[in-house]
Amino acid sequence: MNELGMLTALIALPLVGGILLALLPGLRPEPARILTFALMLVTFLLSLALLAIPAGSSWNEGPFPWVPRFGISYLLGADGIAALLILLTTLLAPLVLLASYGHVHDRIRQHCVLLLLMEAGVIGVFCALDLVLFYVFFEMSLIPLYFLVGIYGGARRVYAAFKFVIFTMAGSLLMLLGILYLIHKTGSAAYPDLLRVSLSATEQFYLFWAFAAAFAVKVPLVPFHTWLPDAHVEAPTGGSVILAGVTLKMGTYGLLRFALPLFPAAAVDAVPWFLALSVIGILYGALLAWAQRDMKKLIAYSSISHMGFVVLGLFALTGTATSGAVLQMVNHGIATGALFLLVGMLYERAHRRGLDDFGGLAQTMPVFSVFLVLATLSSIGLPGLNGFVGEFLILLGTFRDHPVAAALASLGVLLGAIYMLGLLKAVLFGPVRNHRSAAYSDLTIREVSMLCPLVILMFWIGLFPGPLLRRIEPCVNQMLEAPQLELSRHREEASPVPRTATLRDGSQP
Amino acid sequence: MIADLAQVAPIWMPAAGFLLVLLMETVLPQKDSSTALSLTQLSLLGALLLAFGPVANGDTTVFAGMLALDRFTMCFQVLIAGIALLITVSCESYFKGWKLAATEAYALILAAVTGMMLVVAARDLMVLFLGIELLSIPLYVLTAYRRLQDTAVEGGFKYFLIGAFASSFLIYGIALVYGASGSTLYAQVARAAGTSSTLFTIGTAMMLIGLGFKIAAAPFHHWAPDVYQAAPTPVTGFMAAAVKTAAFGGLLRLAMEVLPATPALLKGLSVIAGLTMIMGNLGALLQTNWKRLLAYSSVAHAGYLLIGVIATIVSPESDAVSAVIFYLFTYAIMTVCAFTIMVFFLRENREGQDLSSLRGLSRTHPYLAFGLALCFLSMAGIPFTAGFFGKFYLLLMAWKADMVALSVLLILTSLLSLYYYLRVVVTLYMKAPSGSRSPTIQSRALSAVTLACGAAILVLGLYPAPLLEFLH
Repeated sequence: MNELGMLTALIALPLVGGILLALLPGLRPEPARILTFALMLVTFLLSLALLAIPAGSSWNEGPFPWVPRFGISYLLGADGIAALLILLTTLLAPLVLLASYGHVHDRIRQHCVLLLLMEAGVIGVFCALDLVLFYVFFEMSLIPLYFLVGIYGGARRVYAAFKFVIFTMAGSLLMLLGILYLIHKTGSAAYPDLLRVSLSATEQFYLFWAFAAAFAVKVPLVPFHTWLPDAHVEAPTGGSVILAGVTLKMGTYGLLRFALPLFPAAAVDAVPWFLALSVIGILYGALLAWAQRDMKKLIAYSSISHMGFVVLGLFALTGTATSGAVLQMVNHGIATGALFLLVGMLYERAHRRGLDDFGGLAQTMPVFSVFLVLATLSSIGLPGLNGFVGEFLILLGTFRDHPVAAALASLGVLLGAIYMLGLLKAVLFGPVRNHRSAAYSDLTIREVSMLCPLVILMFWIGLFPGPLLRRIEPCVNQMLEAPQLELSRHREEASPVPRTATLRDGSQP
Repeated sequence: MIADLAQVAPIWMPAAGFLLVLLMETVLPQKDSSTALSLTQLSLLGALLLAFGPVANGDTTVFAGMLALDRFTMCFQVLIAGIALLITVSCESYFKGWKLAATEAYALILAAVTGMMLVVAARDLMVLFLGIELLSIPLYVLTAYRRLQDTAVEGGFKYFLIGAFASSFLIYGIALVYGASGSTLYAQVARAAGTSSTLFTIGTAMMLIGLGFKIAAAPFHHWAPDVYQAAPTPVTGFMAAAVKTAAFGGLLRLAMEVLPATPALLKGLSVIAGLTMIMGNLGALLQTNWKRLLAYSSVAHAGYLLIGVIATIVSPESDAVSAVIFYLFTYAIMTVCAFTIMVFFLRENREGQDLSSLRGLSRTHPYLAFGLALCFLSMAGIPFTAGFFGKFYLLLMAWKADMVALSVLLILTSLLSLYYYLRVVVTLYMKAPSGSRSPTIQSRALSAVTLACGAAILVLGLYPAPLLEFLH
């Protein structure tokens, strides 16, 4: 397919819708919100067509010349990985809009416009195959989120939004410098062209780290993670869901799609660094989460820990682990999205979210409690739910080559269970610490309908991961082809000493 | 000679307009400035349209090779006439609001435009000097236009002193270069450049210092914040957009035709470019006065542009020239847009220039707030705005000329600039409106200019290809 098609439609629908919504005079806030919801629903239904992409192949649109002087073209492509992440985005977007009924009562139309623009940007990131186009979408998803946090967030929202943008931009500007070098070198920014370019070891080194900087901040990897707790805590519920659900994945997606295949030699050299940083992230994030007494902060730090698993899986460079990492991106989006939605619901009732402010909610809010337990168990990785499959594959795939990293990471699973169950215990069970909590109403139909799709997915992916993995694996293998080749070359270079040793051993009678 | 005169119409049309406006004011004094405005706009429009002449006629030089009529001249003349045309619209609203006579302001703007048209076409050092003087002197007067305010007089005087100082550097430099080469024509000066005599080196250095004052490059930029603050808002916009464009036009042609790519010159210019980026962005970081903030930001932009100038000296045949011109187009549009929006508020006292007077503007004036946010995001170089491709092009040229350190510095200082540009956006969108705000001017023409500039920022950010091909 070389014509404009489904992918363009998926980007254009929210983008044009958002612009029209901003310009349409005299539209009342509530109709605007309903209109936005309808638009997001249509986008979601359209995106279901992406499931028709055959495993191992992709849909491409373009290239159409965009700025020929710079070798920039409009080139989109979606394979199995991109399709899954786009689906996650289009699924979470309407849920976030539904959630906004609970906490956005002012400047509603502007909120809708920002959500639509962000959805367009994120979808664009996941299917752009021209580096400049990718960069443009990368930033385009950032700016609406900045406004969402900065306008609709909590008390320290301005600080948090600021920090978020400055951190992200610091990384992405380095990537821009790298992109410009590639254009200068090859005259094209198209991904297929760049895959064919051979770069020297020095070039690969600088370019890889320039790209990795942008993505590591976004993931976030320790030590670039400090923006995340601030942004999550101050963001409105919808902002947190989008942030954790999809924008963090832009970092890991970028590592997998661009950093690994384009600069394989440098990526292989960087493996120890990334393994170390991700293991540190897993453990450090988990320990910090354990220490938190604020639910949103706890989930934010748990995100750092869980995203550490994803990076670990990516850089294990085995098909199993990397497939698990891709699946875990989706899982984390679902589980953390649900957790942030639930905390948001509780906050709308209680206007507080400390672990010590509640207790015994299982008695008064049974439906809420069931959902919270399910989301928590999914996040912990209970067998039968989605989180288990991803974590298991990551650990399995990592163990072969990097047993120490895998062992340390599994410690993170244990810690995860401790702090998440601690959250359940403090909020749902035990003595009632807040006597007003008896008065909180249980979940409304709107809230239940927001959570149901996520819970269904938790079970579905947990019980039948096969169809998803079949889509992910061929694409992952394509991405890993170059790095694995590089890895085996490394081993051959490194092996002569032990091999001759065995020969000598063998020759000795 | 007469045939030559017909070809340089973009230069003498503003001059003729200048004389007519002055004459009309003496002979037939008008009650309001509307006749003067139409006369001004007519001559500027004429200059704008006639500037396209070289495209039809091919590249030539006129007046014994002293003026060049080529695509380069055309691009700059179109840009300058366009800026002036847009600025006159905000002048009308501004001076009416302040109940000041605007007629003389129009005459002075036309005189300055004449000088700018000369500067960008000059292929002779004396013509360059003449043009620079012609553009500077009216601006000294314009800066002090609100002559009953002490600050305005102080600003005008400061600008005049510094300007005279800069001119003396320029003319002394020209004299030394003439001494070394025996000519003031670029083509012949360039021949002497190869011999690299000490006289020539000192002469070029002094010329560059003189031009450095005009483009507000560090360390010659200290006048900018004070003068920007003192001048009437539309004049500040004119200064920031048009003067910078014209001065860079003159500098860029020197870079293309005269300046030799000697290590000393490149090193010196690189240091100045780096220093300009750093000083401009650091200076803007903590400003609370929006005019001073824009002054420092214009210094920073001059630093980015100098990278393009250096790339031009390294390889005169490369695209670097188009990169600088493209950047100047985007920069001029953002600047004119920002200043036009600020004219809506008509506040010139210290509180009115404080950023806090814009708090919560998105609530009270959503369209103006959006326009202003767009300008600032574009200046920061966010994708989907014109500023992104401007920086993109410059950086690409920097890579092509192997200027690694300066490109990294551009990226780092851009990050710094994000801090203060976003601070404005925060003020507009994330702060509650404070107290009573004086009502804004209602003017269709002003709104139209804002709308056109805002749209241009977005269009250039989305689809810059046509303009890029045009400038090439």
